[in-house]
Amino acid sequence: MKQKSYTPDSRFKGMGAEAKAVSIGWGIYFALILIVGYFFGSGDPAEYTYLFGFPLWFTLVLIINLVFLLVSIFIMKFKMKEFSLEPDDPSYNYNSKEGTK
Amino acid sequence: MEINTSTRVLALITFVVYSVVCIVLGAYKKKGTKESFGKSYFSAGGNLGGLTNGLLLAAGLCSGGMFLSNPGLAHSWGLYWVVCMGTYAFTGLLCNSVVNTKLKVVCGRINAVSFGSALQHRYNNNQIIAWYTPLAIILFTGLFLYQQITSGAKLMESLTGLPYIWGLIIFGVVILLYTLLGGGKGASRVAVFQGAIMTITTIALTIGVVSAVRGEFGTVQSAFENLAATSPSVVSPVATFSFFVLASMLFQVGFSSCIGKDSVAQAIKVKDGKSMHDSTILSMILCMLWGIVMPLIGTLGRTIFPDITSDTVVPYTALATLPGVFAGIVGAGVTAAIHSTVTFHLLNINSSIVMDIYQNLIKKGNVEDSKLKRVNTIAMVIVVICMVAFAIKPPALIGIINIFSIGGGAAAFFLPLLFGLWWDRANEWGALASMVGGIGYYFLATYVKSFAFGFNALIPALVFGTIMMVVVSLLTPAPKYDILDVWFGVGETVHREERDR
Repeated sequence: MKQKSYTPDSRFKGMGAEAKAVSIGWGIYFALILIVGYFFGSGDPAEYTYLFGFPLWFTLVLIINLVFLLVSIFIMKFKMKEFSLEPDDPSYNYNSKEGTK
Repeated sequence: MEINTSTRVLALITFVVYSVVCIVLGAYKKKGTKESFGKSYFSAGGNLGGLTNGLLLAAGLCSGGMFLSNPGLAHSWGLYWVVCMGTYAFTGLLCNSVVNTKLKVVCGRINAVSFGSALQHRYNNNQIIAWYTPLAIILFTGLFLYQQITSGAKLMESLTGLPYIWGLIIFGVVILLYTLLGGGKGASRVAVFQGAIMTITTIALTIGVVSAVRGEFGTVQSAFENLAATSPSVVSPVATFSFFVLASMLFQVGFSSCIGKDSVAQAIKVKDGKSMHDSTILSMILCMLWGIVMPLIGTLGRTIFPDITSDTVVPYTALATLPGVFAGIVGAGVTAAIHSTVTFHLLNINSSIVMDIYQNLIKKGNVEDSKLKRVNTIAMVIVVICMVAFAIKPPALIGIINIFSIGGGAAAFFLPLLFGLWWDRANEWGALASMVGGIGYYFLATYVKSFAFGFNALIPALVFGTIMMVVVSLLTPAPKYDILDVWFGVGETVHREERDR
């Protein structure tokens, strides 16, 4: 027996896209600090290069953190849609659908 | 180290002032709330703005550990721990974007204020999931809280000279008072104050430690060069851990720890989409500040105080590099970090006891608000007494429970929530299989190292749990229409019920 299928909430698709974008962004961040930290820091500590007072690998990781912070704030503030978080979907007419059923 | 009496008295006075402010802020009540007890008490009415919510989110994520034991770990393990803790900056972003936004809509539909009741609804009222979830939350969160107040009382002992046991009791009473009186709303007011003190602490300690390092070595760079010569593993990211272990630590700290038992408590407090985004931004800024600077102070402290016990690096640095009043403020700041975390989780435990176990599972439905309130008070007093009692005499099984808490918490709740929210085919059998498989594999990989493939045990456990979730869900029937409508559809069933009432 095939069961009744649900009408998708119009907001969930956008929220899913946001979730996906954030996860992918986080994945890039994760990979970057791991690779930069590992490959710039794997030499002999006695021969490290320094930048702004810290070992180069650490400064680079700090810069990556800062860049991702600024980019995330920009996207949050200006690109992401602000969804209604009320239980009912604002773009769905609950009454009309019920009438036709 | 000798601490003179005036510093101790100043630290004590600062602490008393801090506690009084917390209790007053927490207890202050606006009259005329008509919402049900569960909603107004646990979700703070569900309409917090971006500022308060961002602070609550950040303060809940950055525990007392961030201000005490993590600087200690950065003191002994070195700079890579700073990087691991720095990933906390984006944890709030992940929490809010990946789960909380949608979770807020869903929880609003089913009037859920606790993680247990949300999972129970999603997985078709399955009794094993319904009982395991709140019980596991009580056990693991209780364990976590006991560790938090232990470190708080030890800090008070080292700063003010107050005996450990008195520190514990005062800690318990202060938390109990403002949490019990104010609930989620009171806690959120207190969190704003606590967040401010935590930030002042971070800045004061940075100034103190950097000037002390400059005084000793001239520049920060030469301090690190000296450290590289004397203890190279501290400045190198690869000396202590392998690439795979580093990757697992980063993943565990930054990603998997944030989606799970705390998500519902975070989601239900937010007002709307704007406040969700604003709170994300604020939590990112605060967590980056606290998460990078505080551990970094631990590593910087290593350059000037290489021989102290690692865990005491923050109080030691505060007393050694800052004037008396600021040492007191640092004490209050660390206490604030511990308090805010304890409050958040205490409310979490209580929502599990009162809403999940008492209302949903024992009473099976509607209970009067006055009765819920009474059960809540009794439960909270018992939980706090148990925490203090455990801290006085830690139970012998603590090591095993500790290992279990990662497996039974992260491996068991991460997947059911994530899949339940975003995959409409996930059903209760898949969830059960992933919980059992995840916990089981976690234990296997913890004790038989070759099953972990060089990673931290949690990573392969999550991979195995995912496979179980997908395979078992696809082999068993899809969830019912009522559930799918609430979690993926427009919520027509719920809307009709509400209207007909």
